[in-house]
Amino acid sequence: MPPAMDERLEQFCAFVAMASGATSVTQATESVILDGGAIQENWGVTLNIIGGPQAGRYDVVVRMDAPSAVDASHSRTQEFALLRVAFEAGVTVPEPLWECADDSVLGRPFFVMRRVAGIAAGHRVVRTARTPDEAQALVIDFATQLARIHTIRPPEARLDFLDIPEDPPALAAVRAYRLALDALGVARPGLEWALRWAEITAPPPGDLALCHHDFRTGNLMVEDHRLTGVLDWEFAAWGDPISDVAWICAHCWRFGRDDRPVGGIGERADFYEAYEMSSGRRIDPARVHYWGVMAHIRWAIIALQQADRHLSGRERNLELALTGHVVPELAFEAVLMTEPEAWPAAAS
Amino acid sequence: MAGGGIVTRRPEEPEDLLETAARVLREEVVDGLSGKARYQALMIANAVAIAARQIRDVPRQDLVDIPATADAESLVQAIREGTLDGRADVFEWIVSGLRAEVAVSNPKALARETVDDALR
Repeated sequence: MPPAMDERLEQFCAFVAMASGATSVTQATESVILDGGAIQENWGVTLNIIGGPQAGRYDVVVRMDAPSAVDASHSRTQEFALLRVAFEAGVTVPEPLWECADDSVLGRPFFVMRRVAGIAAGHRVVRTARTPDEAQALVIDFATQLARIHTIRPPEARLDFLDIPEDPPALAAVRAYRLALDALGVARPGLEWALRWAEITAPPPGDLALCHHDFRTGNLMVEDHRLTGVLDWEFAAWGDPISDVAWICAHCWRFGRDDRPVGGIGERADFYEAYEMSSGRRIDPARVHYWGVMAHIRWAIIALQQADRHLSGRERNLELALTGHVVPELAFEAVLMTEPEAWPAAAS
Repeated sequence: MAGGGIVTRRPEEPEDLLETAARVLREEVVDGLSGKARYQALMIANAVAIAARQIRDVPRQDLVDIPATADAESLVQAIREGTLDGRADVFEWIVSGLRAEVAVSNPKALARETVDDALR
């Protein structure tokens, strides 16, 4: 077991006591490591907060960088700020409680949030048996929550670490993806083909909103066929809100249920209707298609980066190595979505 | 590889060995496992199966009729510069290359429907 939590529980409880204005804080259960992923480490623990304005029993998650943290995502402090802004906007997220930006307590920066019930695992959520009504209700939950996230608009002082893009988000993404491919030093003609299509067919910029940028079933806590929490805000940024719609509808996040476009769970029509009703924003299918191409490119690049962590020797790991092998099918998908007929006729 | 001498194994043996190992893992070992060990065994079976397909001799495609594609880097450059925009022959060449790659990495993905349902 990684040492960070258990070896420092006294310091941790003292920190919570200070942050919550309590007389004292005790630990009611052992701390357990939770599924976190390769980038973050999550610990679950139950605390008794005695005295002060926040007294009570708390099931919490302590979230910190994994020892092998990568640099692409937000810091824990920034993620805490995102969670707080989303919470106040009425998004169903775990309530953010306290943050600690320095290393003195647990050896790494961390924050504490309330633990929400459910599972967030795409392949399991997809396999759960549901009636059509249950599937529809879940898809409507996804759409309503996403619309609520997109009510958060720039400027927002608490999110001043997010750059407000001057260029259209689509073109900024094309540029960023090319830089990422160049940094990896791999020639991927398929991804390049799709990226060039994306460059010359980029939609005019619409309204900017806070985009989650990883809104898929793997990051959505589900219990009893309802959404209980939107997790993992580490990629959130100002962008084109339709990019989030396309992300959860992309082929690559359906876990074998290609017949159910929204995350392998339900129907586009239900999702679109609920999203349009909640957001007042119309969904243009061509724009979803555009961002669907970009979704496959983006996931392919992330997969290449994960494989590179293994291949470079920085972190020898079979799961990272296998992730590299999803790249061909993602590129294949992106290329088939950008067949010659889909290119502007004027292009030479 | 040895430069000559007596051939001591059949050419299909390395692939066959890995395929057989992957099948035993997937069909027999995994059933007795649960949790993390099961997940890891499935990952290993997948890795071994990919390696088996990688050993197969896939003929390299020629980049015929596309002058800019002498190597992957100049192809990428030409795509970025827009000199190959929307060209059907380039598209076909890329698709056939990717189809061969997917046949190694995840053959099941070839059977999938790939037309984007966003536009229906």
